[in-house]
Amino acid sequence: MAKWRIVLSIRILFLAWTVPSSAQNQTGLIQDLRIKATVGFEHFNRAIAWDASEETTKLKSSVFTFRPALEINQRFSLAGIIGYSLSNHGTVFSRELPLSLELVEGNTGGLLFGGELGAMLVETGDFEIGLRGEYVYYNGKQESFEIPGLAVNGTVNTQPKWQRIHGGLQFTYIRYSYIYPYLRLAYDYLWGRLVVEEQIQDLTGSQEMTFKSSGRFNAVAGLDYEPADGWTLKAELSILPNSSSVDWGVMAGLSYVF
Amino acid sequence: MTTKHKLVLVLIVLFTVISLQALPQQARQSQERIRGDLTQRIADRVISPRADTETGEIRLYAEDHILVKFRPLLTTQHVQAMARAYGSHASQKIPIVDLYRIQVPEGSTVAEMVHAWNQNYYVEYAKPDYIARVAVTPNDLFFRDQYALSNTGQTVPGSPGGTPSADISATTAWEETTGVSDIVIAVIDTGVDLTHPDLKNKMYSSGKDFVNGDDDATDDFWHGTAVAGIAAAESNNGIGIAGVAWNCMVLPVKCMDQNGEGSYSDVIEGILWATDNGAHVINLSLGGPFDDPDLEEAVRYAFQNGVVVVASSGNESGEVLYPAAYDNYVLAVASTDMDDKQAPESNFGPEIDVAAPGEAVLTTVPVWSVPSNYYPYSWTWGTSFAAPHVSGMAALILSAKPWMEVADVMNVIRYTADDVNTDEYPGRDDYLGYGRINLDTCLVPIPIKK
Repeated sequence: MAKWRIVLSIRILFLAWTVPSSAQNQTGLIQDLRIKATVGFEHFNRAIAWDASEETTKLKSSVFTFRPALEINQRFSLAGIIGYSLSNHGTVFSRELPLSLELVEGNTGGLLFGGELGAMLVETGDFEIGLRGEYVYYNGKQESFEIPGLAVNGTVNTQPKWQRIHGGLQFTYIRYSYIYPYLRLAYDYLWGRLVVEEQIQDLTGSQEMTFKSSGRFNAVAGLDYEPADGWTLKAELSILPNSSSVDWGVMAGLSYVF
Repeated sequence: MTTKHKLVLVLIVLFTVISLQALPQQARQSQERIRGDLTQRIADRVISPRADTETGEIRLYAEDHILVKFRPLLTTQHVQAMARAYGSHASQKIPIVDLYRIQVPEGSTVAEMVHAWNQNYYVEYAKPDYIARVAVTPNDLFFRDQYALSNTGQTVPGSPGGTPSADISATTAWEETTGVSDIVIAVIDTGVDLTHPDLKNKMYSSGKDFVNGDDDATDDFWHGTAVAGIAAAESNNGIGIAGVAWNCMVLPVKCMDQNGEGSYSDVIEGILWATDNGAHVINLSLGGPFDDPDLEEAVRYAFQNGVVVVASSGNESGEVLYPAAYDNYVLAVASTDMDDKQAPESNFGPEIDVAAPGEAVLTTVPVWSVPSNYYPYSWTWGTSFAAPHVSGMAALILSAKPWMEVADVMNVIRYTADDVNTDEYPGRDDYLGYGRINLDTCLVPIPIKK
């Protein structure tokens, strides 16, 4: 099965590369190279299951991103992602420390890095079928808190980190000029860890609490609107069902192609 | 919609409006009728054990309001109108369950109001608002007298009543753990009554008797039985008292004779034997004034083999006794009373680590030591009875976190103590050490808010 997946992936990539280039007069692989810059905001929540405590909480994340991208032949795009995220992993209990802690929910700021790939595979009638994939890594800042109620001073340091991979097929309706609604069915997986370090005088301990998203597949409905030459407004709504609820996310962005 | 349908609809609306207008009057009539011949049918069934906070009885339900669920379609305005008719008022509806809190008017009781509202046609049911408690309260007969575990200000011998919350906060900690039977507390003392109803199921083995040289550590004094009961009496069994570590086991090691005396050599042997025979915690409610390197070596051996050693500081209002004074390997325990004050006889010095209640502590005594028609429990005084609270606490910590090192367990006990004499001696001091132990802080996750 794994072998077939690899073969299929290679064939799709090959198709993505050869179909558009063969449709153009074979004068060179790169005929049109553009730079695109996008600023965006995304908010999503995900049910996350914690390995240590078998608890499930909601990760809520607000993400501000800047995505400089290269667009090749208007069919392929490769973008870097840098951004800032406020993430809230919900209230969790850390019991593998000398003193157990209840880490009450709250936002933690952190930098975000990643990349994005897009490819138009097939254009058929009023539809365009493409691939889109994204990977982001959130590195939350380390925060320090005083542990209340002790006979001596004690502190706890926490640092959350998570990664998210998202990729799937996108179906875009291209009949209208300037407005391009699309639907994307994608694999979406988020995983991460929360490192908790406790120091109370000479008493120290640490716990690395790992988590992963409960759902795996999501559906994204979006719209690209081009109000002026070179400018694109983008909006997306995504839903991701899991065993007990439905997670959701929204995204808005503004792009300019140079 | 046909004319016939419209007519029916208008009639339904009119009937509804008229009947709702009549609600307050019906309610008032109902109230008057009920006041006349109040039957206690429901009240007798659900509210008989009335709470009395003055006598320390547990309050079962809120006394200032009841909960009422009305039939569907009644608005809050209608409910308020009905409540006024009862000389009361209603709060906002609790959503989803559609319950209203209805105030109990002055001069009425919860029982009367529950009964009255249950007679009302528009009420699905009315009931008391029962009290929930986050803490685990065991059903042991004398638990209410154990101020050390849960101080409600109850009367204890020698005091008209202690200070509420001057206790080791055991009940909330028991929400987290009541201990596991894998953890063993060795009681090195005068032995333990192996037949005591609150202890017989808690024996890890019949132990070792170094005084008489056999394997039957039966108590022929009373002291060891008292110590064992505080640390780990069988709890929530409907009789007697609750121990600190409900489910942990007791290993009796008899090193003291029928007069409560024993040689250092027997104590040394007892410590070494307990360490090698399954103990995770050793309680030493004993001590002597003489420093002995071999005694120190014995507690060092226990420490280095993963055993938490707890010892009482002594009752001479003087220097800390040995082995409690071996600071690197032993937790030295001072004694407090029901007001979190230092017990006057409690020894003091730089070796004191923590304090625990030791004054007027109710605990087990040998069955043979009391007349047959008496319960085998008694009040006890002294640091001997403070130490087993700490031993029980150490056992609970190891139950919840068996991976913890001995030194860390000792530090957790020290650092989570309440500095109850901070007005006189802020911070660690020579009288109560870091303070009176607190199981809640030690075991229940501490909220960290951003």
